[in-house]
Amino acid sequence: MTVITRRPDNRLSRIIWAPGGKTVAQALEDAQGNLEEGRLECLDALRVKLEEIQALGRKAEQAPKLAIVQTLYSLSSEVLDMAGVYGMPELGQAAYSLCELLDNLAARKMWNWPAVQVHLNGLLLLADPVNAQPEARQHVIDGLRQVCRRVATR
Amino acid sequence: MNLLSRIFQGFGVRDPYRCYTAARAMEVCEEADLDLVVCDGSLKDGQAYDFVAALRRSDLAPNRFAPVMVVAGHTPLDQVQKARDCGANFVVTKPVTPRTLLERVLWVAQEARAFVELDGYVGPDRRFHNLGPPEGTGAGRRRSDAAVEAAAPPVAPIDPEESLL
Repeated sequence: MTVITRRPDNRLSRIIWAPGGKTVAQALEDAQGNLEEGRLECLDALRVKLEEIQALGRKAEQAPKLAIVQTLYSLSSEVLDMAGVYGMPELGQAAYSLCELLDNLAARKMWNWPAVQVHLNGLLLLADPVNAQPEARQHVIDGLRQVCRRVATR
Repeated sequence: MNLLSRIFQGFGVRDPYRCYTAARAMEVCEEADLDLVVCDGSLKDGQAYDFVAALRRSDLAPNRFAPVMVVAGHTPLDQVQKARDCGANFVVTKPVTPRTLLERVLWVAQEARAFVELDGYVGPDRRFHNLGPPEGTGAGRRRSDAAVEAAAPPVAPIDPEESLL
Protein backbone atom coordinates (compact mmCIF):
# COMPACT_ATOMS: atom_id res chain seq x y z
CA MET A 1 0.00 0.00 0.00
CA THR A 2 1.34 3.40 -0.97
CA VAL A 3 0.83 6.40 1.28
CA ILE A 4 1.49 9.85 -0.13
CA THR A 5 2.20 12.44 2.56
CA ARG A 6 2.08 16.16 1.85
CA ARG A 7 2.41 19.36 3.83
CA PRO A 8 0.29 21.81 1.86
CA ASP A 9 0.23 25.53 2.57
CA ASN A 10 -2.42 26.44 5.17
CA ARG A 11 -4.04 29.55 3.67
CA LEU A 12 -6.35 29.97 6.64
CA SER A 13 -3.36 30.19 8.95
CA ARG A 14 -1.80 32.98 6.87
CA ILE A 15 -5.01 35.02 7.00
CA ILE A 16 -5.68 34.50 10.69
CA TRP A 17 -2.19 35.28 11.91
CA ALA A 18 -1.69 38.26 9.57
CA PRO A 19 -1.36 41.58 11.45
CA GLY A 20 -4.53 43.65 11.80
CA GLY A 21 -8.13 42.50 11.84
CA LYS A 22 -10.24 41.72 14.89
CA THR A 23 -9.18 40.51 18.29
CA VAL A 24 -10.63 37.21 19.51
CA ALA A 25 -12.76 39.07 22.07
CA GLN A 26 -14.13 41.42 19.42
CA ALA A 27 -14.88 38.53 17.03
CA LEU A 28 -16.80 36.68 19.75
CA GLU A 29 -18.71 39.78 20.76
CA ASP A 30 -19.68 40.56 17.15
CA ALA A 31 -20.75 36.98 16.49
CA GLN A 32 -22.89 36.93 19.64
CA GLY A 33 -24.36 40.29 18.64
CA ASN A 34 -25.31 38.92 15.22
CA LEU A 35 -26.99 35.93 16.85
CA GLU A 36 -28.94 38.22 19.17
CA GLU A 37 -30.13 40.28 16.19
CA GLY A 38 -31.70 37.15 14.75
CA ARG A 39 -33.12 35.86 18.03
CA LEU A 40 -36.79 36.75 17.46
CA GLU A 41 -36.74 35.50 13.88
CA CYS A 42 -35.14 32.22 14.95
CA LEU A 43 -37.46 31.69 17.90
CA ASP A 44 -40.44 32.20 15.57
CA ALA A 45 -38.98 29.65 13.15
CA LEU A 46 -38.38 27.31 16.07
CA ARG A 47 -42.01 27.59 17.19
CA VAL A 48 -43.23 26.81 13.64
CA LYS A 49 -40.97 23.76 13.46
CA LEU A 50 -42.24 22.49 16.79
CA GLU A 51 -45.83 22.86 15.58
CA GLU A 52 -44.94 20.98 12.38
CA ILE A 53 -43.37 18.21 14.45
CA GLN A 54 -46.53 17.84 16.52
CA ALA A 55 -48.77 17.81 13.44
CA LEU A 56 -46.59 15.31 11.58
CA GLY A 57 -46.23 13.20 14.69
CA ARG A 58 -50.00 12.83 14.94
CA LYS A 59 -50.11 11.77 11.28
CA ALA A 60 -47.46 9.15 12.01
CA GLU A 61 -49.49 7.53 14.78
CA GLN A 62 -51.25 4.92 12.68
CA ALA A 63 -49.26 4.05 9.60
CA PRO A 64 -46.10 6.10 9.30
CA LYS A 65 -44.82 6.65 5.79
CA LEU A 66 -41.07 6.82 5.29
CA ALA A 67 -41.32 10.39 3.97
CA ILE A 68 -43.09 11.52 7.16
CA VAL A 69 -40.52 9.87 9.39
CA GLN A 70 -37.71 11.49 7.39
CA THR A 71 -39.32 14.92 7.65
CA LEU A 72 -39.81 14.43 11.38
CA TYR A 73 -36.11 13.61 11.65
CA SER A 74 -35.11 16.72 9.64
CA LEU A 75 -37.34 19.00 11.70
CA SER A 76 -36.00 17.59 14.97
CA SER A 77 -32.49 18.11 13.68
CA GLU A 78 -33.30 21.77 12.93
CA VAL A 79 -34.76 22.22 16.41
CA LEU A 80 -31.54 20.78 17.82
CA ASP A 81 -29.57 23.43 15.84
CA MET A 82 -31.52 26.41 17.08
CA ALA A 83 -32.61 25.53 20.61
CA GLY A 84 -29.11 25.14 22.05
CA VAL A 85 -27.88 28.40 20.54
CA TYR A 86 -30.74 30.39 22.03
CA GLY A 87 -30.51 29.16 25.59
CA MET A 88 -32.83 26.13 25.48
CA PRO A 89 -30.34 23.28 25.84
CA GLU A 90 -32.90 20.80 27.20
CA LEU A 91 -35.17 21.35 24.21
CA GLY A 92 -32.14 20.66 21.98
CA GLN A 93 -31.39 17.49 23.94
CA ALA A 94 -34.98 16.30 23.57
CA ALA A 95 -34.78 16.95 19.82
CA TYR A 96 -31.50 14.99 19.71
CA SER A 97 -33.18 12.14 21.52
CA LEU A 98 -36.03 12.13 19.00
CA CYS A 99 -33.50 12.07 16.13
CA GLU A 100 -31.75 9.13 17.80
CA LEU A 101 -35.04 7.28 18.25
CA LEU A 102 -36.27 7.87 14.69
CA ASP A 103 -32.91 6.86 13.23
CA ASN A 104 -32.84 3.71 15.31
CA LEU A 105 -36.40 2.75 14.34
CA ALA A 106 -35.74 3.46 10.65
CA ALA A 107 -32.55 1.37 10.67
CA ARG A 108 -34.52 -1.60 12.04
CA LYS A 109 -37.59 -0.89 9.88
CA MET A 110 -39.72 -0.66 13.02
CA TRP A 111 -42.21 1.79 14.46
CA ASN A 112 -42.92 2.49 18.10
CA TRP A 113 -45.64 5.10 18.50
CA PRO A 114 -45.59 5.29 22.33
CA ALA A 115 -41.87 6.05 22.29
CA VAL A 116 -42.34 8.75 19.63
CA GLN A 117 -45.37 10.16 21.43
CA VAL A 118 -43.52 10.54 24.70
CA HIS A 119 -40.85 12.51 22.82
CA LEU A 120 -43.45 14.78 21.25
CA ASN A 121 -44.92 15.44 24.70
CA GLY A 122 -41.44 16.07 26.06
CA LEU A 123 -40.77 18.65 23.35
CA LEU A 124 -44.05 20.43 24.13
CA LEU A 125 -43.22 20.52 27.81
CA LEU A 126 -39.66 21.79 27.36
CA ALA A 127 -40.65 24.42 24.79
CA ASP A 128 -42.89 26.09 27.35
CA PRO A 129 -40.89 28.56 29.47
CA VAL A 130 -43.44 28.16 32.28
CA ASN A 131 -41.99 24.73 33.01
CA ALA A 132 -38.69 26.24 34.07
CA GLN A 133 -37.69 24.05 37.02
CA PRO A 134 -34.20 22.88 35.98
CA GLU A 135 -34.46 19.60 37.91
CA ALA A 136 -37.82 18.74 36.37
CA ARG A 137 -36.49 19.52 32.89
CA GLN A 138 -33.46 17.32 33.46
CA HIS A 139 -35.79 14.60 34.68
CA VAL A 140 -37.69 14.76 31.37
CA ILE A 141 -34.45 14.48 29.38
CA ASP A 142 -33.27 11.52 31.44
CA GLY A 143 -36.62 9.82 30.83
CA LEU A 144 -36.43 10.37 27.07
CA ARG A 145 -32.92 8.96 26.96
CA GLN A 146 -34.09 5.93 28.89
CA VAL A 147 -36.91 5.37 26.39
CA CYS A 148 -34.38 5.58 23.55
CA ARG A 149 -32.08 3.05 25.20
CA ARG A 150 -34.95 0.64 25.82
CA VAL A 151 -36.15 0.83 22.22
CA ALA A 152 -32.58 0.31 20.98
CA THR A 153 -32.08 -2.84 23.03
CA ARG A 154 -35.41 -4.46 22.19
CA MET B 1 -29.38 34.21 7.28
CA ASN B 2 -28.70 30.97 9.10
CA LEU B 3 -26.92 30.62 12.42
CA LEU B 4 -23.55 29.66 10.99
CA SER B 5 -23.60 32.62 8.61
CA ARG B 6 -24.40 34.98 11.47
CA ILE B 7 -21.51 33.64 13.53
CA PHE B 8 -18.96 33.72 10.71
CA GLN B 9 -20.03 37.20 9.67
CA GLY B 10 -19.37 38.26 13.27
CA PHE B 11 -15.87 36.77 13.01
CA GLY B 12 -15.24 39.10 10.09
CA VAL B 13 -15.67 36.67 7.19
CA ARG B 14 -16.33 38.64 4.03
CA ASP B 15 -17.89 37.36 0.81
CA PRO B 16 -18.70 33.82 1.92
CA TYR B 17 -20.06 31.38 -0.65
CA ARG B 18 -23.28 29.86 0.65
CA CYS B 19 -24.37 26.65 -1.09
CA TYR B 20 -27.44 24.59 -0.35
CA THR B 21 -26.48 21.48 -2.30
CA ALA B 22 -23.29 19.45 -2.55
CA ALA B 23 -23.33 19.88 -6.34
CA ARG B 24 -23.29 23.68 -6.07
CA ALA B 25 -20.55 23.49 -3.45
CA MET B 26 -18.38 21.50 -5.83
CA GLU B 27 -18.99 24.09 -8.56
CA VAL B 28 -17.79 26.83 -6.19
CA CYS B 29 -14.68 24.78 -5.44
CA GLU B 30 -13.96 24.82 -9.16
CA GLU B 31 -14.48 28.58 -9.43
CA ALA B 32 -12.71 30.08 -6.41
CA ASP B 33 -9.80 29.48 -4.06
CA LEU B 34 -11.20 28.87 -0.58
CA ASP B 35 -9.56 29.44 2.81
CA LEU B 36 -11.98 27.37 4.87
CA VAL B 37 -14.85 25.05 3.98
CA VAL B 38 -17.66 24.59 6.52
CA CYS B 39 -20.25 21.90 5.77
CA ASP B 40 -23.53 21.27 7.50
CA GLY B 41 -23.60 17.57 8.30
CA SER B 42 -27.41 17.54 8.21
CA LEU B 43 -27.58 17.65 4.41
CA LYS B 44 -29.75 14.74 3.30
CA ASP B 45 -28.28 11.24 2.84
CA GLY B 46 -24.84 12.22 4.08
CA GLN B 47 -24.25 14.55 1.12
CA ALA B 48 -21.92 16.70 3.23
CA TYR B 49 -19.59 13.78 3.88
CA ASP B 50 -19.72 12.64 0.25
CA PHE B 51 -18.89 16.17 -0.83
CA VAL B 52 -15.85 16.36 1.46
CA ALA B 53 -14.61 12.96 0.30
CA ALA B 54 -15.08 13.96 -3.37
CA LEU B 55 -13.29 17.28 -2.82
CA ARG B 56 -10.33 15.54 -1.14
CA ARG B 57 -10.04 13.08 -4.05
CA SER B 58 -10.46 15.73 -6.75
CA ASP B 59 -7.66 17.50 -8.59
CA LEU B 60 -8.89 20.90 -7.42
CA ALA B 61 -5.72 22.29 -5.83
CA PRO B 62 -5.49 24.24 -3.61
CA ASN B 63 -9.09 23.64 -2.47
CA ARG B 64 -8.65 19.90 -2.02
CA PHE B 65 -6.13 20.72 0.73
CA ALA B 66 -8.27 23.46 2.31
CA PRO B 67 -9.27 23.04 5.94
CA VAL B 68 -12.75 21.50 6.18
CA MET B 69 -15.01 21.61 9.22
CA VAL B 70 -18.24 19.63 9.34
CA VAL B 71 -20.87 20.92 11.75
CA ALA B 72 -23.12 18.04 12.72
CA GLY B 73 -26.08 17.56 15.01
CA HIS B 74 -27.27 14.00 15.16
CA THR B 75 -25.30 11.66 12.91
CA PRO B 76 -27.40 8.74 11.63
CA LEU B 77 -25.99 5.28 12.30
CA ASP B 78 -25.32 4.60 8.62
CA GLN B 79 -23.25 7.77 8.30
CA VAL B 80 -20.94 7.51 11.30
CA GLN B 81 -18.21 5.76 9.32
CA LYS B 82 -18.61 8.21 6.44
CA ALA B 83 -18.21 11.10 8.86
CA ARG B 84 -15.03 9.59 10.28
CA ASP B 85 -13.45 8.81 6.95
CA CYS B 86 -14.57 11.70 4.74
CA GLY B 87 -11.35 13.65 5.26
CA ALA B 88 -12.63 16.62 7.27
CA ASN B 89 -10.20 18.29 9.65
CA PHE B 90 -12.84 18.52 12.35
CA VAL B 91 -16.40 17.50 13.08
CA VAL B 92 -17.99 20.06 15.40
CA THR B 93 -21.13 19.00 17.23
CA LYS B 94 -24.23 21.17 17.40
CA PRO B 95 -25.45 23.29 18.98
CA VAL B 96 -22.57 25.56 18.01
CA THR B 97 -21.64 28.63 19.97
CA PRO B 98 -19.37 31.40 18.70
CA ARG B 99 -16.74 30.38 21.25
CA THR B 100 -16.55 26.70 20.28
CA LEU B 101 -16.59 27.53 16.59
CA LEU B 102 -13.81 30.11 16.89
CA GLU B 103 -11.73 27.73 19.02
CA ARG B 104 -12.00 25.11 16.29
CA VAL B 105 -11.18 27.61 13.54
CA LEU B 106 -8.06 28.73 15.42
CA TRP B 107 -7.15 25.11 16.02
CA VAL B 108 -7.48 24.29 12.33
CA ALA B 109 -5.38 27.36 11.49
CA GLN B 110 -2.56 25.96 13.63
CA GLU B 111 -2.98 22.48 12.22
CA ALA B 112 0.35 20.68 11.93
CA ARG B 113 -1.00 17.33 10.73
CA ALA B 114 0.23 16.06 7.38
CA PHE B 115 -2.16 15.54 4.50
CA VAL B 116 -2.16 11.85 3.60
CA GLU B 117 -3.45 10.05 0.54
CA LEU B 118 -4.02 6.32 0.44
CA ASP B 119 -6.51 3.94 -1.14
CA GLY B 120 -9.16 4.18 1.55
CA TYR B 121 -8.63 7.70 2.84
CA VAL B 122 -7.56 11.15 1.69
CA GLY B 123 -7.31 14.04 4.15
CA PRO B 124 -5.46 15.22 7.23
CA ASP B 125 -3.69 12.45 9.13
CA ARG B 126 -6.24 10.96 11.52
CA ARG B 127 -3.57 10.50 14.16
CA PHE B 128 -3.65 13.62 16.27
CA HIS B 129 -0.57 12.55 18.24
CA ASN B 130 2.19 10.53 16.65
CA LEU B 131 2.65 7.93 19.37
CA GLY B 132 3.82 5.25 16.97
CA PRO B 133 1.99 2.16 15.79
CA PRO B 134 -0.55 0.44 18.08
CA GLU B 135 0.92 -2.13 20.46
CA GLY B 136 1.45 -5.56 18.95
CA THR B 137 1.41 -4.41 15.33
CA GLY B 138 5.18 -4.58 14.85
CA ALA B 139 7.17 -1.80 13.28
CA GLY B 140 4.20 0.12 11.95
CA ARG B 141 3.16 0.83 8.40
CA ARG B 142 4.69 4.25 7.85
CA ARG B 143 8.28 5.39 7.55
CA SER B 144 7.56 8.03 10.20
CA ASP B 145 6.59 5.33 12.72
CA ALA B 146 10.21 4.23 13.13
CA ALA B 147 11.28 7.72 14.15
CA VAL B 148 8.89 7.71 17.08
CA GLU B 149 10.73 4.94 18.87
CA ALA B 150 13.87 7.08 19.00
CA ALA B 151 11.96 10.15 20.10
CA ALA B 152 11.68 11.32 23.70
CA PRO B 153 8.88 9.80 25.80
CA PRO B 154 5.63 11.74 25.72
CA VAL B 155 5.43 14.70 28.06
CA ALA B 156 3.57 14.00 31.31
CA PRO B 157 0.17 15.70 31.57
CA ILE B 158 0.09 19.06 33.31
CA ASP B 159 -0.87 18.90 36.95
CA PRO B 160 -3.75 21.38 37.33
CA GLU B 161 -2.58 22.13 40.88
CA GLU B 162 0.87 23.10 39.70
CA SER B 163 1.56 26.69 38.74
CA LEU B 164 3.00 27.17 35.28
CA LEU B 165 4.72 30.42 36.30
